[in-house]
Amino acid sequence: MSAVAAPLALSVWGELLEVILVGSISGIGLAIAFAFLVRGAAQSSGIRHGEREGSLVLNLALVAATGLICVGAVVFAVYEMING
Amino acid sequence: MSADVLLVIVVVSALAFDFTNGFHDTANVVATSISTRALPAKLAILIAAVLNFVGAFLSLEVAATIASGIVDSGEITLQIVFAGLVGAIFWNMLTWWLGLPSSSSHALIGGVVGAMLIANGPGAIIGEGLLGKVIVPAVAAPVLAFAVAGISILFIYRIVGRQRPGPVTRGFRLGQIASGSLLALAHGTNDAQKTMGIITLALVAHGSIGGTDPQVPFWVVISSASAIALGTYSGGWRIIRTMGSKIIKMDAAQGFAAQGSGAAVILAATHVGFPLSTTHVISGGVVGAGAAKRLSAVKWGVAGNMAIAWVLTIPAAGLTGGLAFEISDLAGGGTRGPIVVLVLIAILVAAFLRSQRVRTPPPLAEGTA
Repeated sequence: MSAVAAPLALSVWGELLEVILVGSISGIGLAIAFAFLVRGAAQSSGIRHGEREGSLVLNLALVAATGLICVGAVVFAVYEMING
Repeated sequence: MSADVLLVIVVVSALAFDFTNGFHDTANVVATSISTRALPAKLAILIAAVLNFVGAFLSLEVAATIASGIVDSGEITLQIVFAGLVGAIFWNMLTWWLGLPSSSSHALIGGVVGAMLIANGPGAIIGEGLLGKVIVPAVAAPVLAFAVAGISILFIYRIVGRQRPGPVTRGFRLGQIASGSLLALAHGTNDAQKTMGIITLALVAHGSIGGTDPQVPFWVVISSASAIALGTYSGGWRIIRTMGSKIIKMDAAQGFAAQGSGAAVILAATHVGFPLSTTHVISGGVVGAGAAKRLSAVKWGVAGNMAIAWVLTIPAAGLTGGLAFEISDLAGGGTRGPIVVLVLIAILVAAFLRSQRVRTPPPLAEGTA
């Protein structure tokens, strides 16, 4: 138990830093991408129903791009689970 | 014959732990979806149970050792594994009774460390492993999830703030179904493997399978997957209520921020190979998503109780694991020891249930109210 006092291996701090970086970027990135997906979908629905003005094509493009990012994230997540 | 009985006891205890693991951790996956009405409660739990079952089959990279790198693997015996499981199950059931989310993995590690301390002394504990694999991640996980969920919800509100609330809420509810499903799959993959590892270890110690590069028998995979799925399906409602509504009253966007950020952080940790507790991540995410909107929205008393439970997990499970090992050892070890421990547990549980029944007042007879 005396080893508790020993300095923690540098690799642990390195891994922790990597988790903080990868986790922050992917977590916040995914939230932003999905928020834009929801915004694009809400706006295109409003335009289609004549409730608001704006470019339907641009909003659909936003939905497609952010949708691809989100689907890609899910596929990558399942791949990570299988091959971890 | 004696070794066969001990093997059966350890296998049944491992499956019981697996059941409590699923039962206890259901809240991590479904609480936010239920509280924001992304899914009806029964459907959310059914989906979580099925995905936990499927997740158990996704990967079979079983470490074949429990508490690897934390205790001296060469000193682990079936007695120690049994005592460790008793400690972990005790802590899981106690925290469930109190409605507090806590890490099942830490409970198992605590139980094994406690039993190992009594059996072989402090020399068998790898201090650096305990610090690097348990304590540092236990502090880092909730803080990281808190920050990521907090920043995420601020971005989300900024991006969708001026949209009509109806479609936005529907969108985030759909997002919650996807992120919750990912969490359930990840939970099945990670946590069912702990049980598979324990049973495989027991089979190696028993001599049923070879020690060099042991393969997990299919019945072990099926039984572990079924136990965690059944546990999840049973649903630990007390913890679901705490996670879903007692910490913060959340909207769909907050639920998505907590769950989506949590899933991203857990998968980032899996990618790097850094062990993080699902419970710590999701709880930190829920508090972060609430605090970013308004600090006073978080019931800090409940969050504080959770933090106390996390700090106590390893010592309490360790104390119980150590006590179980000591009783088992005093009773003569072998097969007799664990049987004596099981009988004692049965007596204590019966006494507890009886005291609960006595305390519950009888219903008023009709017409007397």
